[in-house]
Amino acid sequence: MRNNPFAWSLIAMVCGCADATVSTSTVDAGGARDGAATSDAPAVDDASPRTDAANLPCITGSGVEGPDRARFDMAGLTTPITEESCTLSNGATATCLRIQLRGAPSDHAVGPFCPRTITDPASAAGLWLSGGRVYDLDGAFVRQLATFYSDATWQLYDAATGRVRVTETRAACEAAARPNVDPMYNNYCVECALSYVNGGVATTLLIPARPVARPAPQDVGNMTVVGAALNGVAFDPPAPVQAILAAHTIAAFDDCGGHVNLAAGYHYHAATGCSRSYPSCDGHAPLIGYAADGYAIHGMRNVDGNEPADLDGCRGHTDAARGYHYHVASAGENLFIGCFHGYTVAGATGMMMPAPDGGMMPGGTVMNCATGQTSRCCGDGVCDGPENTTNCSRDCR
Amino acid sequence: MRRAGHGARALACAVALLAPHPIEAHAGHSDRAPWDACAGRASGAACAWDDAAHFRFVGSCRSFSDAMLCVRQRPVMVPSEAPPAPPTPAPTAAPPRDAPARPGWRAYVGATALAGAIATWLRRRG
Repeated sequence: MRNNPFAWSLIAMVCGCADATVSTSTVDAGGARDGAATSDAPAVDDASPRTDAANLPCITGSGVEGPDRARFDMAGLTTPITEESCTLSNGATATCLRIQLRGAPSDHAVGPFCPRTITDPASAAGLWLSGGRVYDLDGAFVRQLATFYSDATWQLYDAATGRVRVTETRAACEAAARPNVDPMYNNYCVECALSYVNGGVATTLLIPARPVARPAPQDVGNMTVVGAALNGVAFDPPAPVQAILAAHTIAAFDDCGGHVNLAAGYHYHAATGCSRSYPSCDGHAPLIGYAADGYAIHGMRNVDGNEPADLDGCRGHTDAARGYHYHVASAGENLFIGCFHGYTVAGATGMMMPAPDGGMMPGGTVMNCATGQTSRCCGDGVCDGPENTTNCSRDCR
Repeated sequence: MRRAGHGARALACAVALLAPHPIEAHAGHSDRAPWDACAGRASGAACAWDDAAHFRFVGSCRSFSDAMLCVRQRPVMVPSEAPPAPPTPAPTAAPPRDAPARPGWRAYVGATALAGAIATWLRRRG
């Protein structure tokens, strides 16, 4: 209907309904960031980072695979990258790089996420990624969510005041940003401040210094991190959205495709071109990070705006300059890579640090749980165990 | 007479506005589409899904958090170049929430035609 002015004109003519045109603009205002919702433009936004963002020099691949520690921005790391012995998932001993991410981007601000009113412009809010597309999460988008999802239950704002319901406190963030959303926060725009995690959750990634290809790809499965951006932010895998949407919550992303939760801190779910990147001298898509198996992750498109047509199921391919490497999916796909071409570190489920309660928890925070308690399951940093499939459905199975 | 005209006009307005229409078909809009495309399929199986504008995403199924997701391997295909989608397995999960609301083009045409007919009738009478 949105794209059919005749139909709206007909209705307006019959009804004398001024609201008809208002409705049209309302719908359009929630259009895709790339314009796809208001036209038939391709549904893929350009996920290739801005190669001139930091005026970094272009790199010429030598065909050598594996992370180049010099590419990371030290401001995004808590300590310099070191080497250590590790065991890969095939049982082989290898040399790994220990990369300690600060958990906050070194090169861009965090947020904004949710709009505060249904008239807030796109500049006052972040993004929503849905169905392969990127949408500005502005006030108008919030206003028409019920139409967007064809579900009248969506009502993220107070109709009387126009104020958007946003999780404004740490407690609200904690209750709403978990898989089993507290019913109190149904129909909320969910955002968590970086200050809730003291400016970032430091996390450690052990990745092979020289990637080793597997005979067959490894699914990401329950790994909570798939790689790291060069600016010290983790690349997280996509999460099934059923639980989130069932609670009628929007877990808002900022314009850089990231958001904060108490377990992982700030992390990316999409590449929108914000993070540190090195252009490729041959015009290939720029380098933006490394996967947990050690292979490089590049942007989606080359300088000509084209995406490789020969990607495998992991979204990777091989060339002489770079060897095997991945290309991220578009931001709207809420995805970086599809699987691992190489072996990851044995037992790795994400980037975790040992916790004194015998479990693992996200980076540096020291827990001192009482006997019988644990913080390991969700890595939520709360000594409230034993956590189970009810209170911790995300990773207790 | 004038009151009757207003009543009929209101009826026409209601029919036209309340009937399912293509914005709800945009409604085919679903965050679940890439997940639903791999329901019941094994890792590595070919898959495809279409977005609300009928752009096609073609790839293979991969596991994330115990659910299968269709990971795109090929550049997004515009509607004119998209081949028929592969057969979809019987759904193993609940159907998409927005599926029942998705109208066919007949609903759209019907609602529009009805509104037009009523408008014509009103003009002739008034």
